[in-house]
Amino acid sequence: MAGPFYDRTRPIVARTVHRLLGASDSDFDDLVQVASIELLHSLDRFRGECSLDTWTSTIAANVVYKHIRRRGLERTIFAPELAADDVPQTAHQRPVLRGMVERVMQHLGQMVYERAWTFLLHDVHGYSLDEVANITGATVAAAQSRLVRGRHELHERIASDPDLAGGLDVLEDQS
Amino acid sequence: MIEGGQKYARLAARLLIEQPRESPPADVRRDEVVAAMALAIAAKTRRRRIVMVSVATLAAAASVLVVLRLAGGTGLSRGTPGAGSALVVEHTTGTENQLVRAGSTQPLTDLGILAVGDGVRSGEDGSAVLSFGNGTRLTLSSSAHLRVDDLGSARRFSLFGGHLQAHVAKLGQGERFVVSTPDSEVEVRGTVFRVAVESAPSWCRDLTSGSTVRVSEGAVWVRSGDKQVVLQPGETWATPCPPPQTMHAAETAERAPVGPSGSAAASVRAGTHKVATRVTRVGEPVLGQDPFPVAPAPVPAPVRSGTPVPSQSFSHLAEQNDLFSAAMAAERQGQHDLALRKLDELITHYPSGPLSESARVEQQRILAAQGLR
Repeated sequence: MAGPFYDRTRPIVARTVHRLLGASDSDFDDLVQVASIELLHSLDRFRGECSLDTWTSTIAANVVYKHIRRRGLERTIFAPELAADDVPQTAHQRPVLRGMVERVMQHLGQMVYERAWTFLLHDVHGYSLDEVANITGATVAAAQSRLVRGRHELHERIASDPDLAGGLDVLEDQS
Repeated sequence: MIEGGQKYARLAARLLIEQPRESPPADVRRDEVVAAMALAIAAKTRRRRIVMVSVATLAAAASVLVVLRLAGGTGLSRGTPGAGSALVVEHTTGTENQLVRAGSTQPLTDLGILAVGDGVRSGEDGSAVLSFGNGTRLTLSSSAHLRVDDLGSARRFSLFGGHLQAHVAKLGQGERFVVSTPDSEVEVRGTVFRVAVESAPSWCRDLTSGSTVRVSEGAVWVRSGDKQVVLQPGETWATPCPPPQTMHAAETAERAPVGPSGSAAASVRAGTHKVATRVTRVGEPVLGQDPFPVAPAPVPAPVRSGTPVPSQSFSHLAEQNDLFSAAMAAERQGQHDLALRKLDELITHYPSGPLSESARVEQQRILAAQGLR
C-alpha cells in the first residue's frame, strides 16, 4: 500500500516542499519523508471536500510551515535559495530583479512570522484562506486578519525602502 | 484582491510569483521513504487495535453499569423507597454457587436479580458479590448461606452460615439494613462490617454455633437475646459461650477475659445460659472463635464443674490458649496434621490443664473426619 500511495502523492509533496522551502535546501528529502508519513496519518480526516492533490499540498505545506518555524532563527527564515537564480529577463535586468527578490525576502524575514507566511501562502502560492488556516493551525478569521496585516506591513516596509519601491514601480510601468 | 493602499505588497507578490520554478530534486530515497511509511502504517494499525480493545472494554464496563442502574431503576418502579432497591448478583467466583428460589436450586449467574425469599449458597471454592444500585455491596465468602428476607425500606437478610462482608451505603430516612443470624441481629446505618456464623468451639458445649461481628467503619447495633450493644469501628462482638450452671461464680469472673475497659468480665453473667453481650476492642481477647483473626485470639479456659484447676494451669493458660487456638485455626484451614500436632502438644504438656479434655475431643473428631475422608 505504501509504495503506490507514495508514487501517487510524491510529486505534489515534493513540489510543495520545494516551493516553500526553497531550492536545494538540505532538509528537502527529510521533509518529503515527514510530509508523506504525515499524509498517511491525516488521511482519515480527508473527506473528499477538495481534491487529493489539494489535500496533499496543504498537508505538505503544514509540515514545511512547522519545520521552518521550529528551526526559527537559527537560519534565515526564508532561505535565499527562494530567490531566483534564473529570472527570465534580459541580461541587463537579471541582477536587478535578483536583488529585488532578495530585498523582498529580507523584508518578509523581518516581519511577524505568521503574517509573512500567510502573505506568502495566500498571495504567492495561491492557497485559499481555508487552506492557509489549516496549514498554520489558525482560524479562518485569524488567517484573514494576518493576511491583511501582513500585506499592510510589507507595503509599509517596501515604501520606506526607496530603491526597492522604485524598482517595483518601474516593473509595474513596464507590464 | 490586494487593495490599492497595499500596492507594494501586490507588486512584491507578483515579483515572487513570476520567479521561474525549478523542478524538485529527483526522488533518490524512494525505497527508504516507502519503508518508513510501511512502518508508520503498521504502527497505526497497532494503535487502532489498542484503541478498539480499550473502547470495547470501556463499553462492556459501561454496559454493566447501565444494567446495574437499570436494576436499581426496576426497584424504584416497584415503589420501594430509595434508589437501587434491586439486589443484583454483581460477580461470582467458583462453580458451585447456587440460587435457591421457590424450593428449587439453580446455578447463580452474574447479573441475575434476586428477589425476596431467594437464597444464595456459595460453593466451597466460590464467592458472590451482591450489590444494590446505591452502592451497597454484600460479599459472601465460600460455603456461605444467605437468604433475602426483605428488600423494601428495611433490607433484611438472614445469614445461616459462612461469612458475609457488607459495605452499606448511607441509608435514607426510614431505611434499615439488618442481617440476622441464628442467635443475633445486626443492624447498620452506613458502614462496613463482617458477620459470620460458625460452629462453636468445642469447649463451648452449650453452643452449637456462634456469630461474630466485626466493624470496619461506621456503627453497628447488635441485638442478641435481650441485650443490645453498639459496635464502633475496630470492635468485635461474638456470641459468648454460656457458662455451665454448676460453675462457681467466682471462677467465672476470674477466668473470663478482661480487656482494658474491664467490660468483658462484667458482661458475663455466671450461672445462667442466657446469652450475654460481650464487646471486644481491637487487641482484646475474644471469647468465641474469631473467623477474622487479626492476631491470635486466646481461648478462655472451659469451665468444668467441680474440677479443681491446678495453679500451674493458670500460670500457663496463655500458652494453652495459644496452642488450642493455633490448632483450631489450622483445622479450619484444612491443615489437619498441623492441628493434630498442636493438640497433641497441648495434651502432652498440660495433661490436666483445663483445655486437655477439649483437645482430646477435637483430636478424636479430626481423626474421625480423616477416616471418613
